Amino acid sequence: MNKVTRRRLLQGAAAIAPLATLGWRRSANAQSKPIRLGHPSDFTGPSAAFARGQSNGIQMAIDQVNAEGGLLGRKLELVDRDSQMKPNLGTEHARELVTSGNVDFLFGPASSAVALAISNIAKQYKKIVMMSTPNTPRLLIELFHPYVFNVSPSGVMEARALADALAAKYQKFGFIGADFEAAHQGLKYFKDRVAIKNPKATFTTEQWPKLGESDYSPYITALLSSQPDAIYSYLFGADMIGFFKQSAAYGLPQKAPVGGLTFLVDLISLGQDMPDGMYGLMRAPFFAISNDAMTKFGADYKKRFDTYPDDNAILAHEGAHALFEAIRKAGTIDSDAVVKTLETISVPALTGTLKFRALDHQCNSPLYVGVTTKSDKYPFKILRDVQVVKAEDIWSTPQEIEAARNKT
Amino acid sequence: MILIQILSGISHGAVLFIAAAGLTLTFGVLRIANFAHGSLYMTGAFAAFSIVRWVGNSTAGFLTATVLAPLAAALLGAAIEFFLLRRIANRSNHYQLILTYSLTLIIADLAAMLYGRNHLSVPRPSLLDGGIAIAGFTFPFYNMVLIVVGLLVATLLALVFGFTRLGKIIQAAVMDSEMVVASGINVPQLHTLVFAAGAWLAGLAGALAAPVGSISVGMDAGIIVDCFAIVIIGGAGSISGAFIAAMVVGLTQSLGIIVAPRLASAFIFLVLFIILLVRPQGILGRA
Repeated sequence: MNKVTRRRLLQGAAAIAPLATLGWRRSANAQSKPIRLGHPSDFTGPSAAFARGQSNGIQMAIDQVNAEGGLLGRKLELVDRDSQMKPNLGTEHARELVTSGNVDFLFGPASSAVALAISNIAKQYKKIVMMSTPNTPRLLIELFHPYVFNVSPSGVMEARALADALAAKYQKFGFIGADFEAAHQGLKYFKDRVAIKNPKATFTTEQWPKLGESDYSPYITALLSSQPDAIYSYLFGADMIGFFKQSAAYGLPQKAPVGGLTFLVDLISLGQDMPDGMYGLMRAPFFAISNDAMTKFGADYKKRFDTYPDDNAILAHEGAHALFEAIRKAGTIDSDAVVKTLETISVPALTGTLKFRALDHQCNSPLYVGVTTKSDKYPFKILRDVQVVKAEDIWSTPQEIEAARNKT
Repeated sequence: MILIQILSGISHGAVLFIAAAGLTLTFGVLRIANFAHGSLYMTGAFAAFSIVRWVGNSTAGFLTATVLAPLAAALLGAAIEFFLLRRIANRSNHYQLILTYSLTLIIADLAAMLYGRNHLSVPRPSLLDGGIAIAGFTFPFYNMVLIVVGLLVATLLALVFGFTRLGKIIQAAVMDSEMVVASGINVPQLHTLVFAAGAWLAGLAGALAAPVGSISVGMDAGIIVDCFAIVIIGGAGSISGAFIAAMVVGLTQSLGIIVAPRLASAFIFLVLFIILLVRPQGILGRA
């Protein structure tokens, strides 16, 4: 063991030595070089559409800044890398981008597991990483460090927003979720919140199909036989599509509305197979946010990428804008100075005015809860009666964060 | 309610059976653990998607897809056997494992290039949409169709094996392939035919599954694990074993989740585990 480590160390030192001098030489004429932004994300695998959305959204923010002459007199440049939903690959890409890719800032991936790995690299090399999709609370609570920021609402916020919407109307809840860690956490947060908002509420059944299950028939019938008023769902992507397509013929959507985190890409994939009357919790539904900036962004996005701007595109775009604004205000790309600025500024954005809480760098992005309905404008179901849930009402309180951090 | 639960278990088992029957058939005759079987299943699903989009989202589109998509998979299967597997037929099993495994990667990448990596969805034909009322609950008509098709395929295979010369030859090849060679049968041709038939079954399962869930790259890896489990539970090479195994797995799953929903993803492996302990050669396998 010892031998291998020492050899590795030597190899590493040999590899780094020429790079270090290279970096030093480059910094001499840094003013003319572009500011490089690394984006290791999951471009292949089940989250590919999310990664593409992030990249598109960031690129649009970069183009706006570059069209106005750049930042601190320098152009911005995006470098995408494919982490394939593999934490070790995300680590490698992030490290390579920072050490030899001359990257000054990082944007985060789609998967929570990869995000934790990349966040660790950001901490190690003191580079800011701006996340826009992962929602594991561990990212900003237990494993927090000054260089990680997240625009995406956390899993706690999502479960609470939906619990608030459903607990007022329903008594008996069923649950179905893919059998993986985030779903178990999601159910726990949901139950805790429901217990506060509606102490009389009960849970009739919990169904845990495997991730990637193709046949939901037995789960649907088991849900039906437990006779819930409403169902909390933690299924997404292929699982969600399969579940909704199969549940219609059982009459499930009519008997008990289903509520869950819904992404635009899911709504587009499901098309008219998405039943009406389901509760959709969304992070940034472009069709429900009516202001001129969003309308313009949506139109530009559609024209450029021939698709609608999904939640990840919008949040990544906002995160990029916040980061650029902080660099401009700080007047430097020095990580610590930009962190300080990010903690204090308010940035006008598509979904409102963005701020990052200094305690955990959680962005105050709102959540949107509505009911699915047909649209005469889009070829997919949209949400009606959309309520905006403010981050401040649902995010982890400072006491909760302290308690969680002290436990580890 | 229990009745509905049983029916949904049987319909789950029906699709598993169609997919696994193809795998057990190729394993029995060619002695190949065909990793690419899931890819052929995915081929059937993607082909069904293209055909429905081409013919139109109608009952005619669905019927065309269920006829043509399995044939597309069968053609691909025949090509794989003829151009690739045949070349290494006399090498050790490792070569076949590596070859069929690399095919899964190639086919998955090709599918991603052609169709992208998003989840696609084939709508159900309106004729087969809706449900039948059974004891106060609704059971989807489409799942009823799956059960019927599963039984038809089982009957078809039973007839082929019981009453045709080809079936006898295939059975003989499963029992003792050297004897078949010795009696002057064109074995390479038989291998191509059987592999194509296995691919046809995989394609049929894929085409039938397409309107149920979503289609995406990755569905190949999902089904292949289930298929191998069924083949082992039923006894490698035994079609009737695969039928019994698929039904046992389908029913264990659907009835099991009422009792222990937390074990949902483990039921198929629990059955596998018990079978391997009690009867390692599989339910109808030969020791």
